[in-house]
Amino acid sequence: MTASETDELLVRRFQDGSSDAFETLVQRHGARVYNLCLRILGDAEEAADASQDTFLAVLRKLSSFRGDAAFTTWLHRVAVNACYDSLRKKRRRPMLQLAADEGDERPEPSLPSPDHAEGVVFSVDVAQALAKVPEEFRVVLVLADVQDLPYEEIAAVLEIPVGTVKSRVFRGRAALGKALGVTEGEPSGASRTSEEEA
Amino acid sequence: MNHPYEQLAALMDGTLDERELAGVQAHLDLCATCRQDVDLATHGARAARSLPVVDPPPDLHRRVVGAGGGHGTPAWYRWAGAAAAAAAVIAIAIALPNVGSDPDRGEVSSLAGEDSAATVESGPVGGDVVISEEDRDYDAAGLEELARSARASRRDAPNAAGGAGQDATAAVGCVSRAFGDQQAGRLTRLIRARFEGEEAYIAVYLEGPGAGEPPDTVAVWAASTEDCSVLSFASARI
Repeated sequence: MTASETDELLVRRFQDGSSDAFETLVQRHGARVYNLCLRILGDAEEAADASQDTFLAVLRKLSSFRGDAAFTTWLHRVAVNACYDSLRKKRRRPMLQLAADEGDERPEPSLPSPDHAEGVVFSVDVAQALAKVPEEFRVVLVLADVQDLPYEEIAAVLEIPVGTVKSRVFRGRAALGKALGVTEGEPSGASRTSEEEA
Repeated sequence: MNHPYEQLAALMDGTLDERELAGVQAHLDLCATCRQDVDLATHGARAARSLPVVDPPPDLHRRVVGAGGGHGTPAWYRWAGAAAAAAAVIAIAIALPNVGSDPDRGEVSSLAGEDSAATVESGPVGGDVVISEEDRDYDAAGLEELARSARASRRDAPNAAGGAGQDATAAVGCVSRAFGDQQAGRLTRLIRARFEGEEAYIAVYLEGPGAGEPPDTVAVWAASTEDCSVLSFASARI
């Protein structure tokens, strides 16, 4: 039964020509990849497209996957790269460029329809605030606090030092808190650029 | 003033030892910005962790696994099963297009109106891109057949006739949009036909390991002419 198989075993079965191993991997990790993309991109449709791109890239590259990193680490890396591609495309769109030139009044990201009312207002607020967190902090924040990956794995996914991960997680959290309007007052360090990272 | 963000993250996680904690606390005593950031980060972390897990759209699985639009087992799976059973040269491989970024890699020419069967059997797969029209409704098996025939015809080197026109440009743009920026293959041939009743571009790609090595896989994709979405694909090892 494939449900009890490890990812690595499924990858090997796929490489041996199994017809259902990849499908099991998609079923197992589809929601995780989609939520990663949704929280990084802040748009349900873009997240679905990035998720599709992720799995098509995985499918294309899986036959040569050697297992140097854990499958989930590699999968997250592919998904983050798909999100970066999507963000790059978004930046190239003239309408958004125009909006940015006019004062950074980007359209609010579309959000999925929640299935339950409890906590909806707060989660929508958080999702919208998350979209305002600088990209380089948002990606790390989502990996840490939404995907619940340990710092070491985030470092492996992004191929950056663990210390940089910790720094960006902290600054991403602070930027989110600021975007939520938790406190008012003097400018927060959360909005400074990574060049100032310790 | 430098702000010890890494240590502040560790402070939030409770992973500082006594000496580190004393150092961070001394900084916080002097730095109002960091004190405020710790408060903000505490709220931010709690908020991020409160985000609900959202179900992916119901068609995501179909878009990824059943690119054939829900028409049974995807083509490449059936192919994979056959490969395993027969130890044949057919292999699972997915090639994504490589068009638009390097115009020197494939010129588009038009063979509209040419006999479709002849086109299928003799299209060039290593030089110019041939675009043709066929009055044919492909299905998954048809794509597999096309991949196999393209593999076989790779030995041939027919001339690519016709000139690049707006139709050809639009077709290349459509398949480029359909398959995104992931470039692992070279577009060698385009057919305007139907896929399971839907008007479609059928695109043939050659994919190889790179580094100057020759291509080792023929990949065939179908994309809707209406919205340039992926409909299906199949592949064959050369």
